[in-house]
Amino acid sequence: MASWRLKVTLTAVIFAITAMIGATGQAARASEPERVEVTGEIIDTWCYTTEVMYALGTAHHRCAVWCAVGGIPVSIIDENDTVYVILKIDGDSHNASNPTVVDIQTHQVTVDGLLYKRDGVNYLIVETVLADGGIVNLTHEDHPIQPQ
Amino acid sequence: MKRFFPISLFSGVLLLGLSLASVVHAANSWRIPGEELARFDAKVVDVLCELTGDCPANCGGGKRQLGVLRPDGTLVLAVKSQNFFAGAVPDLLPHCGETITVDGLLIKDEHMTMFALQYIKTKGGKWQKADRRGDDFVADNPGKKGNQWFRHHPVIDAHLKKNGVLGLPGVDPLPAKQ
Repeated sequence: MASWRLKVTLTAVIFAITAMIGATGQAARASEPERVEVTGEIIDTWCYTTEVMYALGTAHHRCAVWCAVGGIPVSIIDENDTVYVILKIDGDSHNASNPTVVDIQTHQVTVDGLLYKRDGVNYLIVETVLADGGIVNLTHEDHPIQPQ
Repeated sequence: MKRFFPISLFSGVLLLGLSLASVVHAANSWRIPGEELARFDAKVVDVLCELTGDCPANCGGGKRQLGVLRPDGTLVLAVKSQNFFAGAVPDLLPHCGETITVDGLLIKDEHMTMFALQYIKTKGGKWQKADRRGDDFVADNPGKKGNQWFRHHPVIDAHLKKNGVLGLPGVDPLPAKQ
């Protein structure tokens, strides 16, 4: 009798642990979207994060346009050095080689949208561009045009 | 002994050949901080679809960023291919929804985790270099060089003609400081 109860208890404990592990793993992968307002510069994700070259402002504008047309993801870098990969902007879900996004490369913007965090990436669905200050980061005054 | 030697020599050459064949398509280091050489099986997915459930046909037909979904559920954003200044969408798109083997660099940066795709292989297929952007450009622009696609692309030409290299119409680049 005692052996039967022990088996049932052990089975219940194992089931509960398995369910907890499964739930934790799922939560870690697929976060619920969070509404955010982000202010920063539109950048080329590859050049900025890998530091293959200087990748901010006017000095990098031409390269950023090449990369955006080439289909490399476009992001916003904010003042805390956080990178947000743009997946949708103003209802337009074309996020690879989108001419609209090419046209705002290097701009300083403030956007409102939904943030999805998954597996080490901040993905941003931009619902509204609240402000577009154009290109204000005049890095060509201190840096050569990239790539050199 | 005389018989054994040629057989062992042949076997050695065969093994060497097979080893070299597998090395040929191994990912190369690009000396990027945080990079790891990585080869794994994963399913090609539309990233926006994976996150939000907004799923057009054929992974968006080339207009959406693609990633690969590993068997443990990890979503990896494919950011770069082997073409200069180009992403991996043209290389992954033909395999939308398919599980393939990818070979490249898994980069874990302080900002994000991403993948630079160098080679792909379908089940039972051959290794292919991830450089379709250049091939597609040549197909659309006969006579142009695929590896210089960015110097002849009409959208880029129009943008730079209108806005200049700096993105500031009418402002010329300053000479680099010595």
